[in-house]
Amino acid sequence: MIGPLLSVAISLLYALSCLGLGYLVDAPLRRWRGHSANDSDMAGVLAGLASTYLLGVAAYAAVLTILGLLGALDLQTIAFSLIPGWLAVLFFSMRTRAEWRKAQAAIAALRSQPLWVTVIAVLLVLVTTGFAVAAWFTPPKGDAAAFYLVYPRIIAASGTLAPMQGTYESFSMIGLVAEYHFAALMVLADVGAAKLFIIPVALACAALLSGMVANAGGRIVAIVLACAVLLTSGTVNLYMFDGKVDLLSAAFGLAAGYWLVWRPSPVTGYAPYAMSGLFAGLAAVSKFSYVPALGLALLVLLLWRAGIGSERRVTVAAWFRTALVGGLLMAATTLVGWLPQLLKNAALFNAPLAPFFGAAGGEDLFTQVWFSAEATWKIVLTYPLALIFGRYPMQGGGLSFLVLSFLPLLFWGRRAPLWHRDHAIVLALAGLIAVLGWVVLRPSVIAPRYFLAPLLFMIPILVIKTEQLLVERSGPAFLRLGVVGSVLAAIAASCWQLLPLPSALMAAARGEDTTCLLASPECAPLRELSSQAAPGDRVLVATYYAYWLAPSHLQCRDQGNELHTMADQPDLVDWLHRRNFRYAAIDASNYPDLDRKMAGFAASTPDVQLLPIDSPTMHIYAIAPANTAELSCVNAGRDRWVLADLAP
Amino acid sequence: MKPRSKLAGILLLVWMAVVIIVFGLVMVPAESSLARVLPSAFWEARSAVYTLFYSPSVYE
Repeated sequence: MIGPLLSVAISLLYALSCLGLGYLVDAPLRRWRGHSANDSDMAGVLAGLASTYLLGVAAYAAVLTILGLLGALDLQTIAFSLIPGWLAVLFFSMRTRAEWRKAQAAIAALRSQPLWVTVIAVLLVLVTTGFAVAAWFTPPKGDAAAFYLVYPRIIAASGTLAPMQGTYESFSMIGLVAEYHFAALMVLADVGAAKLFIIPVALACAALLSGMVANAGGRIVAIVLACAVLLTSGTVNLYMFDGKVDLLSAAFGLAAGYWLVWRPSPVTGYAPYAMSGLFAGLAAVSKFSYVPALGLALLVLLLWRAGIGSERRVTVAAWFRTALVGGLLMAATTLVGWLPQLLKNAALFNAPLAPFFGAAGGEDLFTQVWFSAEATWKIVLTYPLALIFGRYPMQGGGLSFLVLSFLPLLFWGRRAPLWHRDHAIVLALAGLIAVLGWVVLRPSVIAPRYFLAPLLFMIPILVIKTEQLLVERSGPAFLRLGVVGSVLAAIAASCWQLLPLPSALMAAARGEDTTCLLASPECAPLRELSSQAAPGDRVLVATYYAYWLAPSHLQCRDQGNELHTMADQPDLVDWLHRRNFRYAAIDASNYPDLDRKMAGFAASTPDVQLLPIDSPTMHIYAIAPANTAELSCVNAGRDRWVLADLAP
Repeated sequence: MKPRSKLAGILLLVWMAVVIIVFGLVMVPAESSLARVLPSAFWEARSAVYTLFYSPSVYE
């Protein structure tokens, strides 16, 4: 355990190294694509910086993939691999000083804005700081405690990238861009530092969205409102602190859209297509659900950029040629974004295209049906309200209600004179087609996080129209009160999730053990189990949320179909002995039959004992050792544990 | 200011208030400590709105 300040400092230094690595990767691309008129604006500089940072995040994830496959994810190697990034930050920050000064001046210009704009901007900074503190302090919850921080914990402890065991084994095949960074930060510091990794990613989302707004003609009020919509969206601020990875795919997706509406001066060259394709590949590899939704949105933007969006008149043949070349370039760079994933799956599963092709166990990732036909119809019929007000299981929050509040303002005032020249309209159209595509393809999966980036493409037009209303004073003065009041209410509603934080922080300051204070009910019993069990004892884990077990127990837990076939064993106790299980941790609410069986054995045989751990649903059973064991959990160096066959 | 613009502005203001109220209704959890504080009319309204935006999953 390291000190809290050190944990935060390491996470910040890590983000700086990613930025530096991004500068190194971006340097040749920057020369190729030239400059845009927006590059000297605050939003242009910040969006460019966000894009650079995300390139660094992707490049360093590729480095970590290789180190993981080599079994070299140790403290020294990771620290050494961060040095080039730090050196690059020093070098490039000196070269880009002029841009920074312009960005600083633009940020300082906030002071010359009306008071309400400054107040909203300051409140957004404060609430973001609150989410950063929550990210650092609160324990992993939900899916993060099931997979997204469990796998990194195993990788960090073992220093090796190997398939995860247990319920989420097939998830080892998915793209793990953020998870590699979590693992590296756990090696360097702790889980708090790992969770903080998402905060700069969220800021990158804000910067890219601001860049899109600026590209579409929005000014500072529109940018502040866009940030307000983003940060008050439950599906954004929830994932800023809970330990999941959804915001990284959203950031990559936003960057893919940003580059397709980025306007170089003069409008020439194919570099933006290459940038967009690379980020599209990274978004899709980070979250496979982005393939259909973001793909549709980018197709609209590609066709627009290739022809209609050009400042010159183009023939249909020239349009087709540009779209074809741009599209092929995007496809090629998309593949570049996928290379580390292909390498990882080739090495671990002998199936580079897993989980799509060549590997068993991945099909359940793509055949999800979350709701009954009746409920699905209700969801479809309540779009787009469901995206904002929806409280469906697994939804993971919704968009900010500001989207709905601002929606009627689209019809206020003057119309856009040239809709096809208007970036905001084209972005909104791309987002709308993506949402329609998603509803058609996955009607029962109501989860804005699955296609967040194209959803956010619809924000610029809303905030720009709202800005026009407020700045040009084209509406009644009291309407401004309505807009400001709505934004303040949205910010206040976002703080709802932070309410338990102050008392937990105070408890920690008093020296109390707050590890499980804000965690799920599995935390205390599984920590107790890990403290009682010896390293390498096999644990049968019948709960989704296994984060709290020690790394050796996570690595030698039930494997393959053990959990699902155990109920069919004619002599369960003998089977547990032969598989060398020493403990069974059972969530009685999710595995009631299994729990009843084990409780029956605990009452009838001394070989099974229910441990006196106080938990309403988690029951821990100790299983006596036996000389019939066929397997053993052995240490393979560092904290890496593997199952070995004891049979001669 | 044209009267039509003023009327549209008032309607927009009402719309924004309705959006906030609906969001408030779906956001407050039923089992929260507010259960004792808020009047029963609030919970009846919440129940009506909440069922529009909630269904149990097939996994439950």
